[in-house]
Amino acid sequence: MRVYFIWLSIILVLSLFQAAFLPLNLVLLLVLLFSLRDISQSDRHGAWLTFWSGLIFDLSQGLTWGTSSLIFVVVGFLFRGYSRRFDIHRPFLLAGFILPVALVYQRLVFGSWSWWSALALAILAILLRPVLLYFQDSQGGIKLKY
Amino acid sequence: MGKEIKKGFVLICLSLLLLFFDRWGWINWLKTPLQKPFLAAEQKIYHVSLSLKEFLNIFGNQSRQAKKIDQLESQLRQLAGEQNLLATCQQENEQMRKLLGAPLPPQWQFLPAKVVGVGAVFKIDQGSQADVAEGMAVVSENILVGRVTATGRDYSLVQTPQDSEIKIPIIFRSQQDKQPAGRGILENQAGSLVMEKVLQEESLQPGDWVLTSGESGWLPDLLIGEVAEILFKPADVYKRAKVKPLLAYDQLRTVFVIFP
Repeated sequence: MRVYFIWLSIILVLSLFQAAFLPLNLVLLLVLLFSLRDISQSDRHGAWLTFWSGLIFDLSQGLTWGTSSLIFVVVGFLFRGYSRRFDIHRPFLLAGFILPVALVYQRLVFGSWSWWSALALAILAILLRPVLLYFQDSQGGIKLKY
Repeated sequence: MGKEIKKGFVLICLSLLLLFFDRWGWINWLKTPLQKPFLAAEQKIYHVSLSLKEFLNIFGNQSRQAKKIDQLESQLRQLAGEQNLLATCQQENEQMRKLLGAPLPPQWQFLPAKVVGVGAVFKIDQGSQADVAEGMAVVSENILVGRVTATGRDYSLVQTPQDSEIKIPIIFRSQQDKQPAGRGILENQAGSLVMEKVLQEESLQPGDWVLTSGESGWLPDLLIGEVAEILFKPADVYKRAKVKPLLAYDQLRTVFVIFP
């Protein structure tokens, strides 16, 4: 349970940063990680975590409650399906999912196509893989290959 | 797999219910008090980030140049306001002019609002409780910041010219003339403001002021920027130009909502 509170605290801080000055959608990136946790750890509560993250994000951004929860839950499930079908450990396959999702999310929620921020997020996802490997492995979570 | 789908279905239904309830305002009693600490925290973070930027600017290699640019931009804004004042020749409310230095109609009312955040959306700390409504213009000095696109009880979201979907009908005129030299549409193209659909016979010069024309729900005669570069080629049907905004939208602390 403690792990969930830590994750939610991180989401809260990132949401506040995003609302205040950060143009990158780091919350979306983190939410996609939760969905991977769901597979790798038979985590029963990962999807709920995704849902709560959406609510926190909506509150911080001033969006209609449920907007991001709905999108995060759907995207999480899609990502799980994608990861079963494709090897997301490969950087380009990982970016190949994150880039269009970030673009569509930006369009649906904020009404604009933000190519550069979607691209930056995809690149960040690739760059962060070693970091994720480090702290996810310590809890028996996602195994990222190189 | 079955459980997973069931769980997903429940969460999707729950999200849809929340969406529906929030659209109808049935959960405002819960959402509004929860949102207050968020707004306060965002405002603090935004102001700290601005102060940090300024601090880094002072100690950065280009601190002197940046200061000089700030001073010049401030002078430019003042000049723009004065020029517009001469051009429109309208009477003003003395108090508002003192406040804004702007040639705006005296019947307009101004509500000061603090900027809460400029991340994915531009957010201010005045909402429906202060009678702010969708479509209202937001200015800083007499320069357009944007238009309110959504409101909560204590906040509003503002669409600025930096939004990639924005299209503002504009007029342009030289800094000396009172009369508009032509019309066009202002768009954001890959992060730059570009004036489109300017007729070939219209005289467009670098340095011309760009103002709102007052169409499509925008208030008239609000300054946006100045023409920086003409992108016209002889074969083009219309003239195009790059526009330099007179405001740094991500560095504003206080703005004014106009009640026309």
